[in-house]
Amino acid sequence: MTTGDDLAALRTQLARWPNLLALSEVVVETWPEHAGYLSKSFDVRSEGMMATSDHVARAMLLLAGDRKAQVAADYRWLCDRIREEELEFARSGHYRYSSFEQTNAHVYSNDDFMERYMHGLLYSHVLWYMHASSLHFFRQRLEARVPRGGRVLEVGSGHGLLLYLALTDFGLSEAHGWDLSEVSLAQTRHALKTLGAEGDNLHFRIQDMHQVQPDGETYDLVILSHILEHLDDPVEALQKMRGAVSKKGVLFVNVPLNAPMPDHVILLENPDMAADLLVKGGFRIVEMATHTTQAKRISQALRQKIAVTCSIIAEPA
Amino acid sequence: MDREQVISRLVELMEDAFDEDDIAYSDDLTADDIEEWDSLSNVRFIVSVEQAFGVRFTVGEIEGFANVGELVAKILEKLG
Repeated sequence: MTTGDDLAALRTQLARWPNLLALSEVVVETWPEHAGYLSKSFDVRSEGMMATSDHVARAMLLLAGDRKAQVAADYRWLCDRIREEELEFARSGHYRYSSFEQTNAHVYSNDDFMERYMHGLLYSHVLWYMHASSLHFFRQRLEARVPRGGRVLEVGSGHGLLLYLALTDFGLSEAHGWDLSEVSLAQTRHALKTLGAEGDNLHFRIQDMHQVQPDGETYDLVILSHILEHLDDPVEALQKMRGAVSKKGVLFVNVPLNAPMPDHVILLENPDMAADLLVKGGFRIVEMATHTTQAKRISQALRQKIAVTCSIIAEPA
Repeated sequence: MDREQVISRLVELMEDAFDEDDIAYSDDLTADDIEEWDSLSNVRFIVSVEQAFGVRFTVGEIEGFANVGELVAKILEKLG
């Protein structure tokens, strides 16, 4: 099949999902050979997951604004970087860096790298099955567990997508974002404004999870999405955060297995290792799901060490 | 190791990496012919080839293979 055939098939496949189609066309224009991968990624999604994907694609297009083509180029660049990391991971069996100090020196302090990295991740939310599936789980499984009008806290709120979904989908009334960097918090604030969420119910502050002091402030939903794998001591961080979850509140965690991204330092090899982190951190697992790369069978993904995201809903033990 | 032995071992590695039984080898076999052969599984496959034959490929070599026949030729070249 030629790339032209792949693009035509993609257009037919996405005829009912205008935002996904628009985002896919921007990417395929930059990277024609990627059309076949995208088609496979969409083909295995349920109707409900396609609806979530289209909903999120609309947000991603808004956030990309007039830089859609550049973000597409950065998405391709990110996929190339990940292929390099995958090769090294498959050869060595471990991630490139093993401490926050190393990733801070080699990744976080490199502004150009981080800008392309964050741009690339933006489109991955809907184009990678694994990420789209975890977003769908978030939308499907959390709403019944958080009270309407409640408070949500996300640590490392990045593009603001999960805070946006928590406010709009779950009817939460107050959103808080914590980060180590004022620049990151400004990006989250700007992203939420772009998506139509602004006002005095949004609160942002510089806060290191490891330095949290018990001050009586609690939240009905605490989100740690793709955070724990970046930390030297995720168990200690979870122990510190335990007191921030309200009495009937829940913690939502996304954490990847066998995912050699340039800034990951904690290698988890199976779902039990992910669950064990939460238990050691003082939580009881309420519900857990795995989302594999391109919907591969979980047994195959674990055997071949192909990336998986674990979504975990937990409550203080 | 002769060409037939390399091909026999390579087919075993392909069947494992791409989770398929009874792959029929031909020199012009490509990723388009095997459902599970994508960019990710290709990385796992190539590294399993490296480990099985005790060779190492450059990124340029990995991206340059047009079909399995070229991979077999490169393995034989590296094995000397």
